[in-house]
Amino acid sequence: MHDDEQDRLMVEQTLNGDRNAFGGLVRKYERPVYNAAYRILGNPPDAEDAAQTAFAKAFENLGMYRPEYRFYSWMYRIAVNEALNLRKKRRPSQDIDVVPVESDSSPELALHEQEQEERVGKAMMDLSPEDRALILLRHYQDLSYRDLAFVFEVPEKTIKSRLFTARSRLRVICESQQIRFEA
Amino acid sequence: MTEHISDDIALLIEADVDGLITEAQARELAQAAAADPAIATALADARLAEQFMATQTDLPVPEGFADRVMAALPERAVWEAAARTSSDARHYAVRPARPTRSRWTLGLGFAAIAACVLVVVMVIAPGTNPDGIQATMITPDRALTTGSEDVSISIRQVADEIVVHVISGRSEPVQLAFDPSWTSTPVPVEIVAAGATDEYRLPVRPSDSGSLILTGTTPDGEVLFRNELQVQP
Repeated sequence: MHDDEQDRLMVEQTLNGDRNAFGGLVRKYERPVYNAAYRILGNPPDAEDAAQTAFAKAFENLGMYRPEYRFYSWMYRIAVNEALNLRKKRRPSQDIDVVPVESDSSPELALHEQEQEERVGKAMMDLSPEDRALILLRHYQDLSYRDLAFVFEVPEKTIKSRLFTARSRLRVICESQQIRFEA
Repeated sequence: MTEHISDDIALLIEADVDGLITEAQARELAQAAAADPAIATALADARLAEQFMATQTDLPVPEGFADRVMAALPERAVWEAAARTSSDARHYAVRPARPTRSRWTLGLGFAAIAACVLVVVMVIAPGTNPDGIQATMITPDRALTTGSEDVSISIRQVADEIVVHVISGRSEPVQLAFDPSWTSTPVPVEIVAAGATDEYRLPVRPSDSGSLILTGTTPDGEVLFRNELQVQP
């Protein structure tokens, strides 16, 4: 069964009173939702809080889910809103946590990769939370214009414009911090 | 700049970073970029963003996360009531954050956040609830679910706050009162609107030790639920 169809089935089962079916959705999407929240908020405890609240709100509002959209887009919409709301409540500056990187490459290369990830993570936090969320969902979660328009509740034209602007800002940040990538 | 770039070219740029572009499309995009510096810049920015995010790795989800999510979900009856009350809404939209935190902070006269605080929240006095709902002990990694037949309360301790999530399936407002023993300053009473879902945050400090009585009443003064939480640093 296709992923989207499976999701819709689990939504239907949940709406029919099967809580375990919602558990299946939580387990399926806990990683991307938690990581989306983490990239927006920059620290694990807040990310967990936002992700947990997002799932709770999804459960409470499941009756309003529109099946013509993918469940994960709807879930991202809730998670991104929750993370942005939480971000507003929290102090504005919080360092991104450093996460050890596993790599099969040489120690030098692994160190370089880790340093690059840390520098990129810090540069990411220099973007506004809205720009960060947009770039994250487009380039990390591979959402389309249509899905992004649904998540951010704006027309696709606006997504196109915002995305181009966010990338332009990202370039400026990378240049200012001398972050370069291999061609 | 983006207005200048046609939607077709914009989609080709997205296809390029997704690696889903055909050879013919790639040629078309390359020609467009060569002819228009704005397209060339947009394409380079998109590729940079793709490389940028490619350096990032997923964080593992905290252990037991899904179980905690499921444990914090409202009881089915309440969830169904909440779903019914919201079924007419056009689509889901997250409510803007309420300024509860600052109000709490001002109301209680607490200092700002005390970092690295570990508060153990323990529920005592089962049987004080007129609906016979027994309270259970919670720790920072668990959630307490309580309430009445048609009001669901989820209480969690998150960092330096006690977070109270309320889902009301009632057709009338519910008055939510907090009575912490560690301060004589009264906490403003919250009103949960009929059929509403809301969240309240109570900051706690290491010195905030004692009991916290949570009471829900109807406009007529009928007590729907009453729980006493034991808060200890």
